[in-house]
Amino acid sequence: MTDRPPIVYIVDDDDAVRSALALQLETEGFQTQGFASAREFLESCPVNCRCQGCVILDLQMPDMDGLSLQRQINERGITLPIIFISGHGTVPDAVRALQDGAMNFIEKPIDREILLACVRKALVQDSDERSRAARKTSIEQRLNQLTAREREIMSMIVGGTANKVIASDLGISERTVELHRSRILHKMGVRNAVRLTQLVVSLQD
Amino acid sequence: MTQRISDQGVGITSPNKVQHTDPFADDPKVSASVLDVAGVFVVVLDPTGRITYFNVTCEHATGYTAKEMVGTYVWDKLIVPEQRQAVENVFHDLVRQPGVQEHENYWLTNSGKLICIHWSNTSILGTGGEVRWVIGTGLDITEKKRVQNQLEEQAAKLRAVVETAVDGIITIDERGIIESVNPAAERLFAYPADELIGMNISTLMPAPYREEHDRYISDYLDSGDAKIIGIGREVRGLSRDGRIFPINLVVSEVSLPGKRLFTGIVRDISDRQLIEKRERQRLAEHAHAARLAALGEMASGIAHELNQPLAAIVSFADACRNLIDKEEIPRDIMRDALAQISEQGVRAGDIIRRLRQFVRTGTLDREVVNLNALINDVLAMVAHEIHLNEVDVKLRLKEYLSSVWADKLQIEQVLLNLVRNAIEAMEDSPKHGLLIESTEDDNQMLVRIQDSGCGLETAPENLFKAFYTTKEKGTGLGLSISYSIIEAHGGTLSANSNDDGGATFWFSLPAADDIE
Repeated sequence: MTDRPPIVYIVDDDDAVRSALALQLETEGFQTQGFASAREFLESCPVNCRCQGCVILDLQMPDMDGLSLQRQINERGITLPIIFISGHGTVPDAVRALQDGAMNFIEKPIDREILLACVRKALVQDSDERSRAARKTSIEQRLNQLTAREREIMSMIVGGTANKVIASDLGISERTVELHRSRILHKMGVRNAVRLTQLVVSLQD
Repeated sequence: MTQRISDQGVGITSPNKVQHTDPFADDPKVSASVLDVAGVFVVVLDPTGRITYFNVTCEHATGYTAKEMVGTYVWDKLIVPEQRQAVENVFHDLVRQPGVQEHENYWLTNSGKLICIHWSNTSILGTGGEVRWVIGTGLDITEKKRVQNQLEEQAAKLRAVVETAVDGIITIDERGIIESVNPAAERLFAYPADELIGMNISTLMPAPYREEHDRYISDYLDSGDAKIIGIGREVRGLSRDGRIFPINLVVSEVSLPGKRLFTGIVRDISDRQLIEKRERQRLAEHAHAARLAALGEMASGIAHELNQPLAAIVSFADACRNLIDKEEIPRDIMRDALAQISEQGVRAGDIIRRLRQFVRTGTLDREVVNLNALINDVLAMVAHEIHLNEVDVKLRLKEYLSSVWADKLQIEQVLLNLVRNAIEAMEDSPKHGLLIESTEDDNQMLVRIQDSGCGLETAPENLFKAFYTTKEKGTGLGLSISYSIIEAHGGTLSANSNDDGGATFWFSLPAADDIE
């Protein structure tokens, strides 16, 4: 993982609001980057961008509004948490935004404490999400090293089937099962069957 | 007369005779000729009623010959059976009490036709004073009778139409004095006919139509300028019980020898006007609602717009607070942030100014408007509320009030709003007096609406602020909209509490010809 600090992306067509938010967050110790439109943000943010942070998104913008941008972000698989800000948020807008996975919905003018709490929470969520994704990727990589036979036996082990039963079910010796088992544990990088089960279950979350 | 007939008789019958002798005495044929050519019916009856003489005119008219008739009773062939007894009675009366007597009866001719005859009868007495002959001379009045009957029938038909007409029909003379009325007019104005007849027609109209009508009639008589003749006009009627109602009046002129009459047909158009009023009211209320909706939409838009500079100000200020806590204050950044704060404050002010401008300058659809008429219209719109709340409405409207150049619907909205407020303010008040007054001063029309309600619960200057209300269901926009409407028309709207309770609202509008 890169050690680059997280960035708060601010998408608001109002120059004053955008630069004020940027200055405010910078004085709170965050790094920010401003965009004057949804399009500008999408162009500078490649698919699966590795950047960490969160997006503060104005609900009402010309051309593409916040909700449309949120859909685009989701479609592109960008996992950055989104905080909506709005001059006059309507209830239906807020509901839609939250249903589509927005973290928060803050009304302008923005209360400092609420803003800081939301940004911090979003950044924590982003880094959690990132490490979970990283772990998932590494587990998947390890799974890919298993042979078909090993996968078959692994699912039986995870299902709690005893070696003796596996041997008789598959028509092989118990000794062979033992050999497969130790190879599986080695390839998956775990010490015992309990850890293996935890790993496989975590993948299904 | 006798002399002249005898002269003629002489001329026709015996031109060679000496003129100074009496031809009737001289020759019986003279009398007979006269009787035959005079063109009148002549019959001579004996005291029992038998015909002894039947002249040529009788023969021609009846188709019977004298020969046939002489010796028969006069009522035998010539009188229809139903009248026979009556004719006999007339005859016997004449015999009992001799003298000259006139009557009419019908003769039945040989061909079955009836002819109407006007008779002058007399009796010739004998030496003993007894009746010797009864002489009847008659004129054929069949045609005259027919025309008369026809006229009577026409008159009766006309009377029936007039009597049963739904519209009031009134005839007046040149001075406007009522000469006749039909039952519909009696019903309409709640006066009996005998009271109406002789009254001046203008008594049936409230001011200002009353004066207007008198003027129209005198204008017409003076100059022939027919402002009201032949054209239907909408005016107001005033009934005996004080009810004022809209009527359509059509006046036509009837010229009779030596006399001019005017006929007025009066139709009560309350119903039609009610429908129109409702429609107008609906429109006015719709306009009010649309205005409120537009305001609401605008308020929401304004909220968003205002929140932008506010959000910037708040964030910049928070940033400055953070910056000032730093050991080394970045002065440039802070100066910039503070400049932004003041700039955003100005921006917020601009937005509010735009809002005020929008409220003030809705587009006006101006026309010439008579405020008195508008007041009456609005009162008609709230007639139901007035009745329901038992409000005692007094009008003190200046006659011939100058017109204003205004958006009728908007001014109507203002009046409706003020009158409704007044009525609502009096709901819990013991007194329910509403006075509406119109005056004119220095080219300014002034309308005052005075109620006897709870009075103003706040300083007058708060009243016209948007979103200020003391009503449970009020939006607090009615008076502020009224205020901006009057302001947009170049007038003013003010209010104060009355000394004896209640409140007075008044607005002024410039006269139509005072606006460039």
